Amino acid sequence: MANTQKRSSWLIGLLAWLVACILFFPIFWMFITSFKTEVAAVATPPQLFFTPTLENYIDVQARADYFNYAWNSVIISLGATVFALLLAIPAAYAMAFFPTKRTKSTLLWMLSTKMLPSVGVLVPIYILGRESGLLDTRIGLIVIYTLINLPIVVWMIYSFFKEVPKEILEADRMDGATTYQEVAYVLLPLALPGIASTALLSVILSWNEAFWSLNLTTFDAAPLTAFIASFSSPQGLFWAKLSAASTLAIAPILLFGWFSQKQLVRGLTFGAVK
Amino acid sequence: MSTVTLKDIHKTYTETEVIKGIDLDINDGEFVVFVGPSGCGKSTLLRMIAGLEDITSGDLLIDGERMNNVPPDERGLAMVFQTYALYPHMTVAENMAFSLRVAGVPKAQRYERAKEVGRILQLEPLLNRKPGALSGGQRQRVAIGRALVRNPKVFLLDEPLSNLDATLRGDMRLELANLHNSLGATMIYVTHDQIEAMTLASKIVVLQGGVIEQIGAPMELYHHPRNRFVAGFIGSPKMNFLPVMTTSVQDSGTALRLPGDAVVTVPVQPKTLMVGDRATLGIRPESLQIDGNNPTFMGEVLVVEHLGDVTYLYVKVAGGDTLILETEGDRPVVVGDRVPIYVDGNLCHLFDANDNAIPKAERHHLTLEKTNERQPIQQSEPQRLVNKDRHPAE
Repeated sequence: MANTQKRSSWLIGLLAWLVACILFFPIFWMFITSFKTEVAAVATPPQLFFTPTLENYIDVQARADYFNYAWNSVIISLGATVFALLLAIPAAYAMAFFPTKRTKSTLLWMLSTKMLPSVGVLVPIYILGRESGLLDTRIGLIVIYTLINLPIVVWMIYSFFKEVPKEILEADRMDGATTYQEVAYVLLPLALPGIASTALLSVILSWNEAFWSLNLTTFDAAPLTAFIASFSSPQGLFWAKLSAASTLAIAPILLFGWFSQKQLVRGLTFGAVK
Repeated sequence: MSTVTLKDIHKTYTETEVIKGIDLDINDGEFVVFVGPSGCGKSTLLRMIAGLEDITSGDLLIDGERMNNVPPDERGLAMVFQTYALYPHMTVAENMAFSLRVAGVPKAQRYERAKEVGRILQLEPLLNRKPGALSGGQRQRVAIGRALVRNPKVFLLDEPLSNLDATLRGDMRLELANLHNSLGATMIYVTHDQIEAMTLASKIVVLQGGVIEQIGAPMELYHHPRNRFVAGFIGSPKMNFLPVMTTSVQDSGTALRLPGDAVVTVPVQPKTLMVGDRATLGIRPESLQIDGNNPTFMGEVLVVEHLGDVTYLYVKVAGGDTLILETEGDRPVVVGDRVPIYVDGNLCHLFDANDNAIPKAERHHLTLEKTNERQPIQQSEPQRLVNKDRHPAE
């Protein structure tokens, strides 16, 4: 009995490692390809052992200013996250603690906007952007990303707020706290882990968003997703350079995610295990 | 002076009426306990007084002033919640002084006040701990401390002891009684535990289905329940009920035939029942006696519960009814025994066909005067504190 249990847990462990390896493999391959020469990158059979070179990174930086793109990515994802939180916290507060008959359907409606394919509204958004002069501006992308992420941010904060016992808020009302004091002194400190992980998710989603950044920016406001794309087509496919650009683009967010994964997991499973 | 008056209070949630017209006067310094089964509306009523629930109709007066639309914190009340509802990210001192913080009282003054209250509740060594590091009893004391800091006119307590284990509950009950005596404050307390109700209350309000069944001092409810519901609700184990029929009505009492043809004479006020009327006889387990010399009827023991000091017997009597009987702790009874049971008519209650109590011929001596009402025993420390130092925000 104990033996079977041991064996099955060993099997599950093996399976987990296998899945993890399959998921990680493309990133790993991209990473080593970025250190190959263009010839080695397309060699058949693929080479696992080769003489590494930094040539691609030098080429990539020479052809496009990495730091300009990276800075745009930082500003845009942080900006979109701050705006999304500023809008979502009051919305989630109202829906979690003062629900009306339509709160549930409002929440569902918000989520349903995520089901619309982005390309469906490309033309109107593009025209709106052009008319308002927001094409290829950071603020234009910040507005778009705020709106894209808002449903999920509201949903997450809403569920974190729901976890806060109602009595604690009633207690602060008995103590005479105003709405602002209630939110600032009681609710936000209690929901902080959840808000942190929501912010993290919003940053990651904004960082990785490609559709709108490719369609609405050229250079001034182009983030790292546009930087990668700029290596994909014009002069044919240069796998090694493309890999180097991709590695550079995902490195910051990967490190960021790595260091905050504890917070992220805690936030995403908040309430699942008490 | 802090009085609370409820006038024809109603509460309706969408379609359902949960509070159906409550009239109640709570006097200064009274300890009023709302009891009733789950869903009777006792907590809702308390929350309406607190201002956490809207009042659908009727008037709520505190010190004669209509408070229906006054926000909770301006009603001069403090509430202790069943779940304590402490702020988990704040220390004990910060928890207790939160009302002062939101009122803009300087930090040093807040801490001073928290320390004073902490001293009363023996929380001084814990002032810098967070609630997570406290035991249940300590958390409860912090919750009470948070109420005390505000110097409220009226304390509202919503099942404050129900999350504690039995021993601690007993201790805290005593502390609450002492606190009430020393503060002399008006307290409204919700519980479903009738021991808490009986021991703490100067006035018990029994609620059922959103209406008041009876208001009275604990002994009044015990000895003169107004109806069968109150009779069954107050007292543990529950009062036994037997269907009876009136056989003769005299000035000395009304004779009733029990199932199995035994006859008991109960001294109720004359002319309340006619010969041939059906009624219900109520008799508390502690009023039934095992008496071989003068048995009213015999019973077969179904279950024996030895609690040490007392023993409860569940006995089946003629007619098929099962009665609970309290007897001495060391009585050697086993399941299957047949025991002779004596029913003393003087200790019985009688209810008419509508379950209303038929008034007894004489009132119980403990209910003749208000001997059981709690009076502030002495001017002890907390009292001085309260008078000397009103809420700085006021």
